[in-house]
Formats: sequence, structure tokens, C-alpha cells
Amino acid sequence: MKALHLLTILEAAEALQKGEITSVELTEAHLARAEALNGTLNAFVRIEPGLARKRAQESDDRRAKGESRGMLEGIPYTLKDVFATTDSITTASSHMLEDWLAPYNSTTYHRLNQAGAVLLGKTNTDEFTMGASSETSYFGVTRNPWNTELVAGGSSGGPAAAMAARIGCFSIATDTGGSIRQPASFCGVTGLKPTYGRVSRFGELAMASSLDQTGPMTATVADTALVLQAIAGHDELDATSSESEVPDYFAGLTGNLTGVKVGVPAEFFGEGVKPEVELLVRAGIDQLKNLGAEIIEVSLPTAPKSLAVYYVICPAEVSSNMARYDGIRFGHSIEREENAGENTLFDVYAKSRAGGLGNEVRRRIMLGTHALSSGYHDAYYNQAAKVRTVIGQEFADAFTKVDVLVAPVSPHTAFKVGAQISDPLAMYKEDILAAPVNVAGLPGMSIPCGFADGLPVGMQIIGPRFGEQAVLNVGDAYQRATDFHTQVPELSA
Amino acid sequence: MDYFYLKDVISASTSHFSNHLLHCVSDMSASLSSESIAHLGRLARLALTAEEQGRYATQLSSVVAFVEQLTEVATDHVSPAEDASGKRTVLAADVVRSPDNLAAVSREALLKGVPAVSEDGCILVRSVMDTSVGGA
Repeated sequence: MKALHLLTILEAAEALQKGEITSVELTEAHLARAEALNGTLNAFVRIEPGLARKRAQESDDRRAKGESRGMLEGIPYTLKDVFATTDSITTASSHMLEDWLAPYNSTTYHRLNQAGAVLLGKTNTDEFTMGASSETSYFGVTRNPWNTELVAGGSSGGPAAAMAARIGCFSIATDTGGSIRQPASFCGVTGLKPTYGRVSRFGELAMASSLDQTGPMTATVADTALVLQAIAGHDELDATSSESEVPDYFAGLTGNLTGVKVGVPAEFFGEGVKPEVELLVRAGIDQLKNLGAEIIEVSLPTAPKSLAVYYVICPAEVSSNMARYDGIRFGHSIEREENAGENTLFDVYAKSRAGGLGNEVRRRIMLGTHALSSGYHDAYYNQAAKVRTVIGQEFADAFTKVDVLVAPVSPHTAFKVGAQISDPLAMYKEDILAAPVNVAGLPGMSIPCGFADGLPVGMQIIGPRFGEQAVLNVGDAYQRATDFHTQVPELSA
Repeated sequence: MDYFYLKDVISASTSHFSNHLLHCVSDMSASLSSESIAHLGRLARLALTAEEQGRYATQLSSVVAFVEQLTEVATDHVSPAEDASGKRTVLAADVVRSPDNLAAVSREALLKGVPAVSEDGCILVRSVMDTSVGGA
């Protein structure tokens, strides 16, 4: 058998079912790897060995009694540190929540507990998920396992680096403008942003509520199908979660692309996309054609405006969502300091927020406050919301002609730590090919499609609303015919 | 602000009201002054240093200039998207419920993160009234 940490969910579940391994053994192998590599990668905000061992033992006990809860029973995983958990501190990688213990569990964590999965620890992210490189984290940058001088991407750099290093059989992350797909692309793993409303957002610390969505990062598309199955579905605690039925995604993987129509949107191959990235994604499209898919050129003329829509709507929602961090109910507060009594109520708000929130978060709050302020709301927010309608309609029209769209995820491979951090607009442009999917609320997945100068490149597969099955099927068929997704970085502890 | 209002009225008589409005706003805001940043800081309840005001003025101005491209899209007869779920007002049944993942929520757990709590377990907030005036 392979080394334990290299087992996919599917392989580990089979070995657990056959009694070849225990969850405790599997969990110990992943914990050892986490402890050994985290100094180099900084993928974790916190490793939870005690909790993990307890959960693994409970899982083995259930299995011994014939009470296995399914495919994720006993499977170790990591959770981006923006999901509320009552048994592990939730920081959002922010000084604001450095010591915050949530009073309730996020629905995603709750469902994974119900499924018997074993939490290894909470992974690093840009502060409150605001960034594209994990460099805005209060706890320091996450390094790319393929080259530790480079970023792992963001905001889900921690989950992606952990997955690429095979720490945990899967990772749970969030994607508001590319935060699952871009780091998945940079780190060479599979990452799915589901349709808006497919997975409950309850207990996921909100950045931009009309754009945020939870999704898995895994080694294979088949594993993504298994995890999505466990976390998808209606939740009465999230009014935007969908009541539409959750299909059996794993059983729906046919491996067959005969007659599948794959659209190639010209606008996603425009100026700025590096030739080596375009070459590999085009080769990926050729592969899909060889597997029986029909390739059709399509046009999404307004999609290039998505990023501008995103940088109005996202900060606007940020300015609203971040209002709860007020220094009064929880989080960093000047009320805890000596001489706090000399402050007014306004000071408590303004100084606690200024002291607890980092640069990028404050920048977005200011931007959103500007976009929503009297006299500007119509011009910025309403115009962006109208362009959002236009972009959504263009995607809907394209999906009357094709089953999925295929494009690059990012215009380039991972960049150096520090290269863009002082230029916010350059960092914002990282999401140029990923944000359209969030603006339109669609499912999008990044899968590895090759290497440029030794660095992974991701291919993006986009589906219609609630069209996860088609996206997964195309990705799975591609992975059955290729081995880019099986390659792992060489890492020494 | 008077200038801005006047431009609204003039633009309203043209067929491209919203685009004219956006141009006029952009003309004024493409470079945000340190004063407008200070105003935003007050609205957003963020204490800003003078250095931060200057830095944010430059950085926000470049983002605002970038999003100006939204004026290039014709949206005269388009309704604004409300959110990506396509849902309208969702109503819940009027019943007391306690979902599994809220089982752990107690008054005690909720107050644990509060920095200032009174002896009888209430959240303390600084007074906003001047108690020295008309007090007992």
C-alpha cells in the first residue's frame, strides 16, 4: 500500500472498511506530517492533535460496532479558519478574533462531524478571506509546497498548501472571488466552488454574503464529489441555501464525455494570460475533445467587467458585514485595556476596529463605505448590480448551447511572496478569471492540467447553476485520462 | 454637493441618466482627498492616522478609477441583481426551533467573548447621554 498520507478519500475509505488501517493510524500519519511541515509551510493557524486523536478513536469505535457513518467516517481533514467551531478557536486569521471561541458550530462543520470526519486543525487564510496570496493573514504568509519562495495563493492558501502537501485527505475552504480555485491552481490540487446556495453559509464568517460559498479541496475530482455530497443541501439557518435536491454526485460520475458540449469563452484567453498557461489549458481542452467532447467557441462579452462589479459589490458587503466587529460584543476591544474608561462609545468602536482589523480589511471597509454612501450608491452599487444581471444573463445564454465552459483559473502561476502586497489593485486583478463565476453564482472547479517551469497550472470548468454534476463529470473524465493530479511536491521536514 | 445636485438635474433630461450620473460622480471622486477619507473613516467607525488617510486616499482612488469601466455597459433597461441565489424573501414557519448546531448556544457562551459585562450579566456599553446634565 501507498504511504498513508498519500491515500485519497476513496482509497482510505476502502482501506478503513476492509480493516487494513484504522482512523487512529491514518490520523497519526497526517498529524505527524502536519507537525513536521507546518514550520516550512505555515498552512495551519492551529493544529488540533488532541481533538483529532479523540475523534479518530471515536470513529474507530463506531466502526467496530458496525455503526460507520459512510464514506467520510474516520477521514482526517483540515478546515479553513473561518468556520465557527465550538471546540477550536476561530480566528479568520485576524487579530480581531485571535482568541475567539465560537458559541455554535457552522453547519458545514456540524455536517462533517455527523459524517464522522476527523478535524486535524484550522488552516490559514488572508484576513477574513480578503486577499489573493494569504499574505494579509495576521499569522503570516502560507508558503507554496512546490516552491516555498512563492505564495500558495489566496485567500485559501492554507487549505491549498495543506492539500498539496497531503496533510489531510481533504480540506474545506471558501470562495468569494476565486479563493478556492486560484490557490488550488497555484498548488496543483482540485478545488470546487459550488453554486451559490448549494452549501449552507451558516457559521462561515461572512466576507461578502451574496458571493461567499463553501467548497472542498481534494486530490481528485471523485473525492470532491464525495465531500460535496456530505456538505451540500438546504439549511434552515441559511435563507439563501437552496432546497433543490442534492444528487448522488459520486454515483453520477460516468467517465464518459461522448456528446458533452464544452464551450471555450474567447474573453478568458485575452491579454494578460501568460502563453505557458494558455498552452496548457488549450492542451487540456484538446484532451477533452479526444475523450469525445464537442468543443464550441462561445462569447461572454461582458464577463471582463466582472472584476469591476466584484470590487464594488464585495467591499460594499464587507463594510456591512464587518460592522459587527465593534469592540463591544466580542473580539479585540480597547475595553480590555487599562484606562479604557477615558474613551467615549465612538472611541470604543473606532479604536477597537482600527487596532483589531488589518490593512486590507480596513481598505475594503472604506471602499465599501464610499460605494454605499449618500450620493454614490446609485452610481456605484446600483450600476454594478445591473452589470451583474447582464453578466449572469450572458452565462445563462451560453449554457443554452454548451454543458460546461473551460478556461484558465489564473492568468499565471504562483508569484513570489511580497511581489504584489504593496499594490492593492494589482492584487485585486488576481481574480480576473475567477470572479465572473461568483458574480453569476455558478459552480466552478480548478483541476491541475500541467506544469509550467515546475509550477502547477489549473484548468477551470464552469457549469450552469446547480450544474455541479456536469462539472464534476468533465473533471473526473479528464483525471481518468491524465496524471497531473497525482503529482505531489517534494517536501522535506 | 450643490454642483453634484445640479448635474443630476441636467443629466435627468438626457436619455443616459445613469451613465451621466456615474461620470459626474467619477469626475469628482477619481481622486479621493484625505478629507473625504477622514469622513469615510468616521462613517465606518475606523480611527485613522494621518499617514493612513494619505495612503488610503491614493489606494482607494486607483480602485475607484478602475471600477469606472462599469459606465461602459449599457444598463438602461436592466434591473439590478439582488443576489446570486435568485431567491426572494424567504419566510420561516412561525415555530420555536432548535437546530442541532445551535444546541450549545447559551447565554453564558454568548457572553464569554464580551469585554465588559455587568454583575447581573448584561453587556456594558459606554453612555451616550451626558449624565451630568439634569441628573439627580
